[in-house]
Amino acid sequence: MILTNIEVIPGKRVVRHLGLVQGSTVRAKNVGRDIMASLKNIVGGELKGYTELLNEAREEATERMVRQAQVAGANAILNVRFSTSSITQGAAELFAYGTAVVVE
Amino acid sequence: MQTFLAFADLIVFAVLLLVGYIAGRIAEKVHYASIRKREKLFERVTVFSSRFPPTVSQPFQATLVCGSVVVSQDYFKAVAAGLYSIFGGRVRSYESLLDRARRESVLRMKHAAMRKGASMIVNVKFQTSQVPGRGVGAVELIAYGTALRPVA
Amino acid sequence: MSDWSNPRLPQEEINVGESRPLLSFFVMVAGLGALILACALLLMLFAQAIAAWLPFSAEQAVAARFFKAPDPAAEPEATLQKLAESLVGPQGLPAGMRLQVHYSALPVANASATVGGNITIYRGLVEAIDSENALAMVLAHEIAHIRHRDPVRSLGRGMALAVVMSAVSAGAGSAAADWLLGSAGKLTVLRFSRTQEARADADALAAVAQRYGHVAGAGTFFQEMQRRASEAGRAAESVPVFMRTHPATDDRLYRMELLAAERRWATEGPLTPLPPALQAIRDARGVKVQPGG
Repeated sequence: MILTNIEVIPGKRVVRHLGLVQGSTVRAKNVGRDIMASLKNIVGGELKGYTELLNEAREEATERMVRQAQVAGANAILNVRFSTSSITQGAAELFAYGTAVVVE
Repeated sequence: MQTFLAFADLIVFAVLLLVGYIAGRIAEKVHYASIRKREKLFERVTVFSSRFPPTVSQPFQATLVCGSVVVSQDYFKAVAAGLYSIFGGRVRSYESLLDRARRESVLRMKHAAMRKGASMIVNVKFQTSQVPGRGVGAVELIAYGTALRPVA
Repeated sequence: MSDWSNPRLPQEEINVGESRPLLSFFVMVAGLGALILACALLLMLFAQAIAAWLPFSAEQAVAARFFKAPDPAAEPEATLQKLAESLVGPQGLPAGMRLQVHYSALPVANASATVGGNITIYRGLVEAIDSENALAMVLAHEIAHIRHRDPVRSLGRGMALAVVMSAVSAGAGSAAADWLLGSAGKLTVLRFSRTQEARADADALAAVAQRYGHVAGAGTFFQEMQRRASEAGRAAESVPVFMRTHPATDDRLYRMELLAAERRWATEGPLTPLPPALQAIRDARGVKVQPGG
């Protein structure tokens, strides 16, 4: 599966468009992490736990999108976009979407 | 003693402010040094926000690469930002924070591209989002784009 | 491929404006402090102004939580009450206003006026004076405060301050509220401004002149306080409480003399002895010192 966030795949030709595919996941951090993060809020800096968590979640969303594309019979996804939005206090949705295509 | 207790919350506030200021300052200096070093290191990975690579004639293999970072404010920056929000103007304390985070996310994206053997990233997109939390002030910055690996 | 490169840009100078974080922080803190101070002053002035519009019955309702009505026959309250009422003068008190004089056996040499028309005379004060004239001056002074609604103005001002302080710091706010309404003070340590005190002194002297036909002995209590303060020297702890809640005594005595001369009140005259109920207190304590003499 080839993923790009441009409309083409260089050196390949799109033979079939299969439409929009998307994957999303909603993740919440546990209270323990929140406590650690609020301590970190005093001194500042990167919240490594959150970075990992959100990365993992984004990978999962991407994976779900890829699975959808596979089911549709695609071998590439073009124009991939990510979006993150907070749903409630403490939970966020990570969303990945793109156009599933068959390329040669 | 009673006066001390009455102003305990103010004293705690002052201590947090001081700790936040000192720790935040040191962390910022160290981080900037590391950013400058890695920016030099990853210099040969070129980054474009345009949609297509400058040379379309050459064959490439494309992959999606992503770099992300969650940064937290320190106590001093948070209080200073609160003050800026009263008086208006540039929230200087957050400017450096976001600058550091954005450059870090680009560096991580470049690093991912390098590991895949790519030397060019096109159509770079940025996204900034607030990390929802109970009393936690943090933002996530991501940079992603299509890494192109020249095919011989 | 090698035709393109990303130049190294001076990014720090472009996106980061932070040059002196501490300086700008302190400038803003100072600005905020000034803002809060201005708010506090405005609120205090406002509270002071509107407090005087409060009906007297509301004042009495507040005071009812701190004072219980004394037995009308009990001494020395009955004597003090009678004396206070005789000092009101022919014009009387504003409609709805009532005086209630209390006696406290605490040794502090002071008297206080507070919300609801409550006046407290302390044992220490009775011990410090030797004539009804001196007592009348103090009582009339407190009556004047009540007539001008000074206690409720002070209370309003203090409450406004407590509100502002609690907005800044919960601890400081509750400390201020404790100080204002605390068990020790019981609303009696209200501070009045210099102008309020001066006005009360002038009114009181007029009331004494009217009651006795002269102002002799009116300053006895102040003279006694001054004497004790100079004896106490600079040891702040032993300075009478009175001196800490009232403006400079020399100044007051001087202004009283001026006023008496201006209004052509007699400064010499026979002193009225203390009523028996109060003389009994002095005798019981074995007070030998003849103050002012």
